[in-house]
Amino acid sequence: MMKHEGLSFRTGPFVFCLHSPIANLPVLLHSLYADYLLVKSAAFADFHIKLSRCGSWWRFWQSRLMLFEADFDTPYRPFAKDTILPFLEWGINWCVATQAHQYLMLHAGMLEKNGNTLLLPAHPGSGKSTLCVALCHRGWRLLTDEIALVQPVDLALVPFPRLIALKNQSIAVFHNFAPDAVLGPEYPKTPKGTVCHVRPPTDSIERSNEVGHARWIVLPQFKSGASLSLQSLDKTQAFIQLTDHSFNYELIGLRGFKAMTALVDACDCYTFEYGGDLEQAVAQLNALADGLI
Amino acid sequence: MLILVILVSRKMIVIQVNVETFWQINTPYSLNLKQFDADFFILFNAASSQTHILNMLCADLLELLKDCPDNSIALSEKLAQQYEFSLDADFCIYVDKMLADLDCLGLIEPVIL
Repeated sequence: MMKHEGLSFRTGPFVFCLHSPIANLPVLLHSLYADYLLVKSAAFADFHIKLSRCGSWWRFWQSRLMLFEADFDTPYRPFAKDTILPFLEWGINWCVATQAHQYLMLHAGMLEKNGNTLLLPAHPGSGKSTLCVALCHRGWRLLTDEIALVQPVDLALVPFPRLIALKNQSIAVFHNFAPDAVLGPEYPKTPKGTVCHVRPPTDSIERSNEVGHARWIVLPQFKSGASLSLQSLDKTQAFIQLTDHSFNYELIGLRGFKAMTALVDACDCYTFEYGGDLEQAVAQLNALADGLI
Repeated sequence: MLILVILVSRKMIVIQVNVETFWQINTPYSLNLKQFDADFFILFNAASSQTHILNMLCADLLELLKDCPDNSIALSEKLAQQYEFSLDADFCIYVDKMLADLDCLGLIEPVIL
């Protein structure tokens, strides 16, 4: 089925139709994608994506290489077959980050507690995903760990809960933190080091049609051995940082400026430095959500 | 070109000011200002999709130019009066530099009256 009609599934507001002739791919996806809503293959899909073998029978040396295609575009060079899931996930994110300009898009995690949403904008390597995965396994609802979708017209935060990619040392840290979480296989040979995917909690996927409302902007920074520090950030600085973390702020023009300023206006803004202790970091952000800070 | 001679701390300073150059806002309808904190303004230019962070003085200079085109000396006088600064050579040079920077950013343009 995946080879011909494709496998269509909904993630957040988007429908993806995945085509692939690779025999073991459905088995690989089953445990991690079990909670995502399947859509009839004939239905409209926002993105058609394809994972296929590279090369042809006379170029046998390429037969172990794979290719990700999205609506006839190929954003990545051929990659090894044993990194197929990381490239599928990066490819799905690439589709959204380069196309979904009806939203203001930020490279940020979004989590909700008590009806209020926390935005965690950050550069890669700052511990954003680790913090997101820890919070959503301690009662927060995950809206996204990677691409925050902001509706410019009403500032609604649209959920886009994807598999959470943990990298290198954070995999073991999280495994100790939440031993019951569903983790996929480890991929040691990716360009970003070892990558392992965590399935978001079922509740977060099932409620992905419920938008969030921004309350806090927290810029996280993991520093090994650092003590916990949540510092208030002035709004001009928060605005500058937020534009730096946007995929399309300049591209969407005045809509982006108005949405970004309104977003900063609506939120309390902080910087958050944390060391290795995830429980402490979660407790600090719980205190913020519970109005104790 | 006008040559101004100003006495600052008993030293005579000579500055050249191009009084013939009047400045105006380049695309007045495309500028959007937002102020979060007391010290800075955020300016978004919809014509270029660029965002600029301005200090108060610079924001007020743009505000003056919004009313009508003006030259560097007149703008310096108005700003010095508004902020109760002394109209010395340093201040005139500062305003001149600010105008040149705003011109480089495409926010203002010279105009012949």
